[in-house]
Amino acid sequence: MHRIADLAGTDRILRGTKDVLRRMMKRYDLAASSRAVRLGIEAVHGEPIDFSLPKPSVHDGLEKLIGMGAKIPARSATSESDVDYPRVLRAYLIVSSGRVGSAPLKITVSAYVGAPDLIRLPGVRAPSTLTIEAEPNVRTVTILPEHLGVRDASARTRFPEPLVRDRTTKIAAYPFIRVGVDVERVEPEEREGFLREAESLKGVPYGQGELLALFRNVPVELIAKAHYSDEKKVLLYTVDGAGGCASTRVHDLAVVRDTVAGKKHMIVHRRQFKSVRIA
Amino acid sequence: MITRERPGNGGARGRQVGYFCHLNLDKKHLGAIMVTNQVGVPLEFKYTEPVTTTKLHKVLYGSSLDRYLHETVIRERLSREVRSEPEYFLTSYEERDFLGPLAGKEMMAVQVFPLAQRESSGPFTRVRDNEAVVEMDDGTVLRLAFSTTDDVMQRNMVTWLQEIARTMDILEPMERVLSALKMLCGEEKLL
Repeated sequence: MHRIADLAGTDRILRGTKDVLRRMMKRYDLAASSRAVRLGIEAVHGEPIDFSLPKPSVHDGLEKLIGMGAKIPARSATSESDVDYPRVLRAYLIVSSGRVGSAPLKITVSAYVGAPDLIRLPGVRAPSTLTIEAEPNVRTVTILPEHLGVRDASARTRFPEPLVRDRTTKIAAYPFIRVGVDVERVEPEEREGFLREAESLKGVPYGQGELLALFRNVPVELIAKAHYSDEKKVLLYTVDGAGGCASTRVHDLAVVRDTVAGKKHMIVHRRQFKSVRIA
Repeated sequence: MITRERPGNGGARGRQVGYFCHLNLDKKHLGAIMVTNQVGVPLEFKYTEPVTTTKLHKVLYGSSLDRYLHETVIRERLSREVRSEPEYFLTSYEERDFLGPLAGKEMMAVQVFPLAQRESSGPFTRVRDNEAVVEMDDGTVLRLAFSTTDDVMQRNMVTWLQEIARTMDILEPMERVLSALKMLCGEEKLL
């Protein structure tokens, strides 16, 4: 026999479940089922339940459920060393929620073997059927709506499977937004290298150039349009795609300002690159 | 003058990088996958139509609602639609509680580690069974959460991450997907 109180965390779970069930009952006007919910919670704080009894004498509600064909295993069905029995507790919990859930519910309760403190309630999933999932066994308690005579609201409680849309070509035109490295931490050698490149490529005299930003690994050969935002310190670019290219190069790219002319230049370092296979 | 070509990806086939994003905005949940090549160019992008939660859902599903939406409604649905073959999926660190394989590929939640906490990090510092702090080649420190607790698999994933980070900004595509999703939620006509 396993005392329910021995299962760390179970009280909290059941208390939470009770609140959910009560709200559900209120919504569906299931006053007749309130007793079953109450019984389930009483069991947590009361006497341990011995599920080995062929007809559990704990509460009428449980007996009634078994009479309805619920598959609650007898203790004799498994060996003494089996630690399944605490899970039967959830069968009792399911009995409670089932009376409410039969309105339109399926509650799944998972437990972990030998780790009762990890018991969790992963989800109320779908209407009409209650499932107890316990690894490695799965036991199912099914309560049909006709047993309780309540309305089926399943269409409102299920999530429809969402449609999936393919927009690959459209997102390909969406700009890359790159954040640069911290220019204050750029090594003097590398800084000088970029300023020399600016002098060579754009005619910005060395000593007149200022390194504003540096971006690593930019696929310059694929870029269709590029723009540097001085305000946000980001580089925006769109790519033409890589159709037909088996490989490309990614370069380090700097933004250098001519402090005299006030003009900004994008400088692709001709010697700092890597070849990348892209197909 | 010496050309400083650094090692890129010299393999016979380019690597594919998977991204997964889940956005929860104003009771709307939607998700997207994007697979890029090793320079961030999209090869595949798919997203789910938004799923809207109601008060009734919150009552019935309780605390498990988020997990159900993230793992079953969105991720499993997208899993069935992935046609590319990324080696792994990357997602934002906020998704760490809902990690799991997507289309059979393991997933990593990634976040740049705050500057103030970087001192104690090494190349691979385990934080928990499924979390580690990793220093990249360029000195960036990342906090990673894995969908698997298998140590060997985790280290393989980190090696892969190190390699793709040599040729692209690994976090930028995530921002691109996220902003695309935000536009979708706002019903703008970008896509």
